[in-house]
Formats: sequence, structure tokens, C-alpha cells
Amino acid sequence: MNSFPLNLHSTEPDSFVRTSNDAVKTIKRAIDMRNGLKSLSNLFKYPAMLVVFPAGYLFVYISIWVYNRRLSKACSEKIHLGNYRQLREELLALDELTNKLKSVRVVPAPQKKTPWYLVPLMRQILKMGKTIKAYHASIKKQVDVFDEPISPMPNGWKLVTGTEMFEARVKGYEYLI
Amino acid sequence: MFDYVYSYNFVGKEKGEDGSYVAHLFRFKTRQNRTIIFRAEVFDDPHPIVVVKFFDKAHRLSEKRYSLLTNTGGFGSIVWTCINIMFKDLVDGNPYRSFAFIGAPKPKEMEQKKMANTHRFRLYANLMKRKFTPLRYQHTMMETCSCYLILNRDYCEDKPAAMAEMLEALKKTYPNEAKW
Repeated sequence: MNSFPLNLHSTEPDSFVRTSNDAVKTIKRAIDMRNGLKSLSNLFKYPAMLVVFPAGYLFVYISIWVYNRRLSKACSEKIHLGNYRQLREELLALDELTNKLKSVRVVPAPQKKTPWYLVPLMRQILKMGKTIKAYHASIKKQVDVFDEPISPMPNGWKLVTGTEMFEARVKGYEYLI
Repeated sequence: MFDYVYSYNFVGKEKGEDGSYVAHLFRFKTRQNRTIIFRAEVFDDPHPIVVVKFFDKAHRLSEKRYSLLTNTGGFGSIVWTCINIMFKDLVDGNPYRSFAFIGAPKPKEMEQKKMANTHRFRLYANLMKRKFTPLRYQHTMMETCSCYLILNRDYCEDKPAAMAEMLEALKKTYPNEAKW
């Protein structure tokens, strides 16, 4: 007779320890912060304000710089491919976040006319956007691998892509019952 | 529905007619007091692939044993137990194994001579999509003969001809159904 430690809900291991959700959380906060800077950018229209509050300027710059560092660290950690579902969920969350990022474009690239004191700030903020986009692209690339066949498909055979499987996983249970 | 696993016994091994595979036989009893035989035909040469089948013991002498219905319910737990055997005994035995099955037609479908996209095939295919992670397995299917193939990525990734050769092996175990 066999005894069953019943964890048969998937073939995916339980030992999935990954900071992916941390990365998404960090990105969420970065986007909120970036959007919050919209009102701050109005402040920068008056250089006098910066003269009066140089400490404020420094504070904003340093906090963005620190945040950028944290973001780069969160996004540079390689995903441990142990759980396909979490990978897909991460991609979905990132799709949503990058759409949000596109819809609120508050900071343009620094130009010749841009006052010198705004350039470092803008660079940091743009760097934030680039990191998020690069992370999104890397996750998308990892997911796309599972939509391609590993060997040429013989006549009449159809590949079940990772995307189809993910959809079946979400809806499957209701469908079967 | 898919949350109960019956206790099962390993019954023994059986050599295939031409010696190309070894059938591993398992047996379990359902709540409805039906004995189910799970048969896994294990091919190791040229590639490790397992063809899985199950039937009610009462129908063992019938030619249509894979198609007949027991009409006693409890289907979910039976399939769940079979998946459990696949994970526990067959994957553990050799982690590079791929799997294949054909969704046999129901008696009504047999009358209509329907082999494409059978009800069993649709049901099992959905389960397999949920149970076998795409990280380790690539799923392929042929609807015209209701055949489903779960390829092991670790094994097949650097062997582009493996799939075609596995299909040849499948032809041996399904001489009538395999139309590729």
C-alpha cells in the first residue's frame, strides 16, 4: 500500500523562493513615486524655490537615487524558474504596470533648454523607467520560450503553448466541474 | 471531485508482444467497489516514453475495455489516482520520461466511428494542461486521432528527432488508432 502526501495540484515544486513579488512591489512604488513627482515638477518651474530650499532638492534627489538603486537590485535578481504560474502572474502584473507607466508620461528626456539643476533629477527618473521596461522585457522573453516547440512538429500535430496552458490552469477547474 | 486519491498496489510487469516495451500494472479499488487496472507501457529504447491506459477489471476480457463505461461515477478520483501513479512511480523511476495517451471513444462515439476529438480526450487534455508544468514538459496533441503527447523538455531539448521517433513507438501500441 502507498501513503500519499497529497500535494498533487501541480508538478511544480513548493520550494519556490523568489523575490519576484518584491520586484513588482518595488516597481509599483517606483511608479507611484514617479507619478508623485508630477506635482513636484511644477515646483521646479520656480528656481527661486530651489534656492530657498536646497535641502529639499537634495532630499528629493537622494531619495530618487536610493530608490533607483533598490529598483535595479530587485530587477537584476534572476528569476528561479520553478513555478510557471508565478512567472505568468509576474508578467501580467508587469504588463499592467508598464501600461500605467506609458499612460502617465510626466518626465521628458532632458533637452538643451532644460535648466541644469533639473537634468540630474530627470536622468534618475528616466533610469527608473528604463529599468522597469528592461525587467518587463526579460520576463516576457522567458515566458515566450514556452510558446515555441522544442522540436519540429510532425504533420497534424499541434503544440499546446504555455499561454494556452496558463489559461487552462486558471479556468480549468470550473470547466471540469 | 479531483481531490481524492485511492490507495493503489503495484501488481507486476508484463512484456510487450514484440518485447519493445514493459507494461507496469497497478490496481486500485474505488469507493463504488470497482477494481481499476492502470497500465503503463514503458518504452526505454530508443527514447523513454510511457503510454498510459486504464480500464475496469470487469471489462478486462473485452476488446472494448478502454471504451466501456462503468456508469458508477467517481471518475475524478480515478483519473486523479492515475495521475498520482504517473507522478509517484513513473516519473520517480526515470525523470526523463515522456507520456502519451489516446482518449478512447465512448460506446456512442464508437457507434458513430468518431475518433477525432473524443470526449475523453478533451477531458484528459484539460487535466494534463493543468497538471504538467510547461517548465518541464511540452504538450502536443493530434485532435484527429485524439492523441496527446507530453514531451519531457530536459530529455528532448537537444534531440530534435526524438518526437518523431517516439511517435513511431506509439504506433506499435496503438496500431489502429495511430494515423500519422
